[in-house]
Amino acid sequence: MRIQVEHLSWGVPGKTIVNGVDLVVGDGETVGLIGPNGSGKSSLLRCIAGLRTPTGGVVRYDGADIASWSAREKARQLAFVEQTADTDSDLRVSEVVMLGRTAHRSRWRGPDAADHEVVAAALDRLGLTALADRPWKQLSGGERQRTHLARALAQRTSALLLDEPTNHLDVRHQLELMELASSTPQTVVVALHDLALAARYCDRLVLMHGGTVVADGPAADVLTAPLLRAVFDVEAEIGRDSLGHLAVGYREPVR
Amino acid sequence: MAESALLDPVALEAPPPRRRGRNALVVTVSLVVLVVSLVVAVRIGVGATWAEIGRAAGARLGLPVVPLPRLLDSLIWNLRLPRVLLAALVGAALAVCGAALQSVTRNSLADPYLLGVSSGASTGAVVVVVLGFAGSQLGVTGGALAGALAAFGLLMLLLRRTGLDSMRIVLTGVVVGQLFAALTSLILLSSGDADSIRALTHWLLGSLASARWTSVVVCAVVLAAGLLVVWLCSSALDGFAFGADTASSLGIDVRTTRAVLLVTTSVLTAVAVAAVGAVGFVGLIVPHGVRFLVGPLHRRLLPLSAVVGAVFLVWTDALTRVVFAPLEVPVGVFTALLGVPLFLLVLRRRGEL
Repeated sequence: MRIQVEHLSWGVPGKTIVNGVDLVVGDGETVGLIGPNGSGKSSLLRCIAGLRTPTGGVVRYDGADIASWSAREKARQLAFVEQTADTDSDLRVSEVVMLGRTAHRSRWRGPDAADHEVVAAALDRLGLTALADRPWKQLSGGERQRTHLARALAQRTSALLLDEPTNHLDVRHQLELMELASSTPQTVVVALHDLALAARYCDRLVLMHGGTVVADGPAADVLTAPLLRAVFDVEAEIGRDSLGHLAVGYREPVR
Repeated sequence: MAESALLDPVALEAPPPRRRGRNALVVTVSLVVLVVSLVVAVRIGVGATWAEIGRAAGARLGLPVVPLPRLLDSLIWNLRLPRVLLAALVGAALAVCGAALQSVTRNSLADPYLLGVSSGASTGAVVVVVLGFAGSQLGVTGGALAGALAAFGLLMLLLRRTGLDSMRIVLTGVVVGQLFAALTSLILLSSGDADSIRALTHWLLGSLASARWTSVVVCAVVLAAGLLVVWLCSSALDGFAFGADTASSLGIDVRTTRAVLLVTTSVLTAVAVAAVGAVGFVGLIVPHGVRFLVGPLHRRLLPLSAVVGAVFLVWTDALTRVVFAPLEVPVGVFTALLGVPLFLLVLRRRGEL
């Protein structure tokens, strides 16, 4: 599924948060959204997910304007994982993942065998099978994040939108999750803070600053000392680690 | 990537057996308890023997039994039976409203009474009665509905900036409830005579003493329709657990579903209030108990809350007839006595007390 963002703007009264963004994500591509806090990554992602109505511009999926889709249609085409989605409810892991099947069944019937199969596969993919019956409250932050991702996979969509999915994860689970994001045939847009992780797993990086895209391209072109200085206000050195992956080192900020 | 990289070695442990069998058992048991409760409650406080109850029912069903004396027959048929059935219907309606509101507002303390909707319905009903339409059940129900919707509208208006996801909703609900309670008192005191004030006050506290067949029929029809509408929103109610954005990304039309549910619960509350006054806390107590039995998924939670709510109010009402006999305490007083400790317990568990 090819995602096209054309001249997209969004904001709250008195403040423009996303300002005229143009972006194309090819079918099956994994694109990393990077940028400092408040640069508009989350808002852009929410517009792409159809959760916010843009004040200007359009978002197209394979040419179709997302504004013309019903909530149900959207949920069948794209899955979205929020940064922190918590609940007071006593839902179990498998029940949360089953929420991903909501748009795939009629109001009149409950989950059927096929739904249970999809859920089992998603749990398996995220290594959550053993936790299937564990209540939400007993999960660690990382387990909750993986449960949400399993739920998103259970939606069986062709696009996957992730807002800082590695936040609560330990190193191993960060690597596994990003491995999954880059290897899945789905089109993936993922907002990330960890630049090295973004560089390693994304086909392309999109650097945002003040609601606009300031760089878009392969990691080596986007993660440059001048750009990082301009956008993040840090003195960085870009190199390779001993495994050959792009690495970013930072100097002490000068006051 | 090899998919196995995502598998923990421990992941192959078999999950525990599904709870399907247990759910069927819970439903069967609760339905049996409901039927038994209805039958037993008809007899409590009537002073008729089982044989006489049987004869009353038999005569109505056209069986060859000796009919009861007219007075006793009328007592059972026109006073007691509608009262018990109405208790069941109102209990079911309030419990379903509580379960739905707790999910929509993401607040485990939501209940039509605590959110001020019942108070709004009371005001609306009192206005209609004071205007002189006391005899018309539909008129009173209509007034209650207008009042309930007004209270809900005001609540949403006051909450429009802060959203639905906080303790603020209960506090705002209490404020709205107080406003409408004050309006009700004002209307009562400025227009009624002493007798009608006493009768209305008794009804406002929640009393089933004046239950008649018309209210039973109205309540039964509205409850059936309302329960169906809410039940069809089960997946949406489950999806609301993680907030509006996640719900929306699951394919739930959040705005429409919320509006449908808020209007439906207002209608259910209004009909319940028009029939028996403002009975509080049923919507708080019952869903919490039922979640404990069958978990939080609404496909199971809603129907079972209806049944348990029915049983709960039938027995609470039976208690009101017996405990201080011959004096009859309004049933709303009893549900409040039971509900307040539970409210505090829920608060404490949430760590807000």
